[in-house]
Amino acid sequence: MNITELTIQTAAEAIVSQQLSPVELTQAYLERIEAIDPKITSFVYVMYDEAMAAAKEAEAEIAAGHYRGPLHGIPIGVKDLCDTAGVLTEAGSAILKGRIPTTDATLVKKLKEAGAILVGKTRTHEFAFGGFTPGTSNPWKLTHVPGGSSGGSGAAIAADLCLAAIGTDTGGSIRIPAAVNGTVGFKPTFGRVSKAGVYPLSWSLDHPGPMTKTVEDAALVLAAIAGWDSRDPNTVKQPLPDFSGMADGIKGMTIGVERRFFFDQIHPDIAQAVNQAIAVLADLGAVIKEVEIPSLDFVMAAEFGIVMPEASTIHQKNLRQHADLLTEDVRLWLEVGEFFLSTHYLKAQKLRSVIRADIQRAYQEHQLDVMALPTTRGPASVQGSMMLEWEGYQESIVDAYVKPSAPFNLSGQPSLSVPCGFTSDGLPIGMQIVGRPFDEPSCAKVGVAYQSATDWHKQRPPL
Amino acid sequence: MKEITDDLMQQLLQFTELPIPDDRLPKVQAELTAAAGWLALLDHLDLSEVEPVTHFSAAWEDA
Repeated sequence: MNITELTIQTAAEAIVSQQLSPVELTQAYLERIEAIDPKITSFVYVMYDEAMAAAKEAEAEIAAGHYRGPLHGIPIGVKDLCDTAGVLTEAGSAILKGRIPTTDATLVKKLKEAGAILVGKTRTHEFAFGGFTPGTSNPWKLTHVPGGSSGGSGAAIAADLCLAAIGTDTGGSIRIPAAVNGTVGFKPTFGRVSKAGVYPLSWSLDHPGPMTKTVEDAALVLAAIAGWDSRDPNTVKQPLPDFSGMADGIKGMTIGVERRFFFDQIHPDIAQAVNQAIAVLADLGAVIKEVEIPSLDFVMAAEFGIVMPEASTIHQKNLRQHADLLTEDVRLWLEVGEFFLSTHYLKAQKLRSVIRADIQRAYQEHQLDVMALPTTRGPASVQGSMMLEWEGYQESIVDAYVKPSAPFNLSGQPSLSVPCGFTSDGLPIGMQIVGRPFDEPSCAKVGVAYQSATDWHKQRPPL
Repeated sequence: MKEITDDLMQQLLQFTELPIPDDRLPKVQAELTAAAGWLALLDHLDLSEVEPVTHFSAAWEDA
């Protein structure tokens, strides 16, 4: 068994045919975590005993003919923001040190019901409020950040320490680490996956979702965790996404490309890689249409006009009682968020309406199925630096990472990031494929087609 | 861009009753000044005819 070549799909086929046992598979991943993770520290807690017990249970069930489906016996990591009953869940914060929840987050419960084996909790930027996940290294270059806030999940997948991991995305926190670690990340439609039991950063922008090595695997995990939940009033009673046609090809699909906002002064290697990826999609039979969305200029004001006050509201008590336990960057943002006026917040929600309507107009006017865009404006940054630089141009990490991602947190649309190349320095690049609300299958269809024509997703870091 | 003066900062602190130690104030003031660009933009946009988003998981009508 070569772990670096396994996907959920191939492992599931081996498990269901009883060529591979969940115990053997889980043991192999736990050993790899023990050997490799000290280099990147993508896990904050490894569930050795719990994982082996669950693997033995899965093995017995499957042997008795009770196969639950493609996640049965599959080792998965969960971002430390998600509650896991009886298992340490600290959201990356000293404030929650030693916290052990008594119930599972709904998505964790669904993973367990699908038979997945939880192998550990992946590192997050404190309370998911940041883009570089301190303490975790990028497997492609240990001197660089893994992005964030789901940096532990992205790094763990890239390093082959589990077959899938859960992330959360408020301004790109699934897609950014997916892009800069060279993995797949799938932010679903807002309301598609329950947030119950997931520590909130910004209740109107948070989206939990899967991170994997392939698009097919992301679809498998998303299908397992999606659905209405009485514990989360934002979830909707939409039919579950049907990914059965995702390998059907993209001939005749219409793909929009917005250049003025998404390609303006981005890293040249990223521009080149994403343009080449769009050309591949055209070669596969998609119709490419250039679109304009003028209101995107206001994205950062809307995103931060919402995130800052919502986060400061959530942490109002923490800021007054435990401020000294917060890390400096998170404390600073929470303090600043206290000074936003209610009028700023509500105007940001109005501005969000304008942006959402403008994006919807572009999809309708051009009959778009999806848009194909760069996931980030710059690659992984050097640890400790808050700025990225290319061709004499300097940009903050916040702008480089959040600006291309946030439009789809504001609009709530599904967005899938797939690996599409490397910078000349060997750092991964991602392309995001953005669908209409609740049309995750179209994103997956384009992603699968792209993967069938390229092998960027098969590249592994030199660990 | 709005300037967050020392006086304004003190007024904000009194209003919110946020206990920020004196040695941290310049840092907070600087970060708030950086954010003031977004706030000024929000202040100046005329959105009187626009309804705020209140239903975050809405499907588009034709989706």
